[in-house]
Amino acid sequence: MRATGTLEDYNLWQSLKEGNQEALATIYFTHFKNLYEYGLRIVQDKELVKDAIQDLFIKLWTNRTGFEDISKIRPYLLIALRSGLYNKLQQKEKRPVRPLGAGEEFDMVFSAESIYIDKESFSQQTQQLVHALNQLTAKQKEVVYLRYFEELDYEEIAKVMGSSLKSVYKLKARGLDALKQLLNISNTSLVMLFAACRAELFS
Amino acid sequence: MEHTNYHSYTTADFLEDRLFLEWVKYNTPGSAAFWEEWISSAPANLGAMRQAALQLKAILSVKEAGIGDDEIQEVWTRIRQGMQAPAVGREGKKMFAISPSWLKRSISIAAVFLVIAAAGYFFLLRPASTQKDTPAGETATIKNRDIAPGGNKAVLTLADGGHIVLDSAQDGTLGVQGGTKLIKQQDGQLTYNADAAKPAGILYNMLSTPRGGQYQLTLADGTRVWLNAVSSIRFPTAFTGKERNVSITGEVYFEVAHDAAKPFKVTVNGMAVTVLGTHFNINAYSDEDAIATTLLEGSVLVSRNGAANLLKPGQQSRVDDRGTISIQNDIDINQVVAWKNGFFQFKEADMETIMKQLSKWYNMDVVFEGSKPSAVYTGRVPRNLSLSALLKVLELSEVRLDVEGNRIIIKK
Repeated sequence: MRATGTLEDYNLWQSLKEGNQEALATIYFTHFKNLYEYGLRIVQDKELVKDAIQDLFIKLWTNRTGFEDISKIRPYLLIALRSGLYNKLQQKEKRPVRPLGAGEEFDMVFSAESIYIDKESFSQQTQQLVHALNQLTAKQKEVVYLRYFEELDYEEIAKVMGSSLKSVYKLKARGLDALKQLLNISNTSLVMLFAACRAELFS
Repeated sequence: MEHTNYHSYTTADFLEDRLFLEWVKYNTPGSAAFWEEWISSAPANLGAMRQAALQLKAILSVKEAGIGDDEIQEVWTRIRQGMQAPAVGREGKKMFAISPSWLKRSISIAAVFLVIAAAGYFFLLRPASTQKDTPAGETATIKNRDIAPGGNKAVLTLADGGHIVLDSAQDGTLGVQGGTKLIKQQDGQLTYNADAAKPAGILYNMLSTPRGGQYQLTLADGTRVWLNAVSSIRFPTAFTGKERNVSITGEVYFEVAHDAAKPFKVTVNGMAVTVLGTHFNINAYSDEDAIATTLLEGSVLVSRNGAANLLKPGQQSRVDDRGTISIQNDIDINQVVAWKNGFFQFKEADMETIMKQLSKWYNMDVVFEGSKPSAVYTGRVPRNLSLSALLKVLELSEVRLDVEGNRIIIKK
């Protein structure tokens, strides 16, 4: 469920490099669902996402000997899937060609009716929160997704999105401003999403 | 558990905390116990924490798209084909490198047998089968070579993650798991022989069938299990606890060995079937709209989320996506378990229902062109027919069935 940097991942990766098919199978079945969910948010075409995952794992096998050692596999796979999907999109010309990472959509709909929100807290504040979250830009949504669904840290998010750490934090900061205007509510309750927006820690 | 000073945490801090996320997102017993205790200490910043929980829940309200296990398996099959395309031979052997040494030896022997078997198939059987099929199987609509029916194929996943491909492994003792002997019998059967004198630790194994595969398994307690295509069962190599627990996917038929002291419990997708000793079938394919449990003999208890129903022989319980349990009487038992006896059996079944079964057994994708045909079918045909022979039967009504590559295309 979680992507953590572990000895297990390290060993699995070594095993893959040595040509062990079981290692590839383990990586595939462990990460498939997460890759699929993330891929579908980038492009809403199930077959295309499945094809991209298929290509990704065939490449993983074909090029296995040349890989660097890594201790956390998930971010690596997410990076590869993301760029694979954009390549496929350009090939298929399903959308006008755009430079990687420039203003693409990120499909992520927050819903007050979801199971996570129980009836008692189905308040006006919840509605406002959900509404405000839905107003975030595609890139901000992607940051939130990678942080809370993939549970990546900000450094990893920056790598996956091909941005610098600084720009990831800027995205969060700008999101905070945007939300303030949208919600017109107090700053403290907004700290929420952009909690980690404490750039001083990273300067 | 590490002791961070949560009493000075702000809403923002909580949102970045792993243990907090673990509680709100997964509600794991460990994290829930910790946070309940923390709340009961009446901290001054309880409000900040509640606020963080509310915000995190709003974030986590995003719905997942969801995907079925059989689709995941399908993509994996395609990957394996893609991997084997450039380099045959050497790579094939390497795939077993992770297995323990006894397994490695038996599998390299099996691999040699496999090569010989494949060659034998190619030289001896192939010409005969084409000769046999050409006059009978050729119709205007069948464009490709005929598709063979499924057979006894399965993969066994051992406790250490190693895999044994059962259709190619030779008959006899495959190895030992936690003091239990694994014996592969002929004709697609695997038996677990527990050594009662040496109860070792509990190890879990998993048997799974691909599309076009079926397999029979005898568990350590003598319970017999039949797996239909695209199905799996996870089970312990010996039953040492108070309950006999297994979990499944797809379609599985059970003949549970009676043991009043140890109930046998099958879990599938949030639903549980508890029995003492009885015969029943569970169909939990992800392309069906409900999990159907059909009882042949004895009695079973079907439960989900606290709701439970006791089934009598001849009854079927259906648990839908929302968890509603409904009971149907007057079920045609023969029809439900026809697959296990080597037949397709339908009663007033539409094309879609039939194709769901065919696609899994012949490993074909199904495409409807235009509206779905309204014809319904009643009858019983053996599962060992080639695809073309079976499609001919279906074409007696006003549908056209074309085979292109691995797709069956249905035209009205």
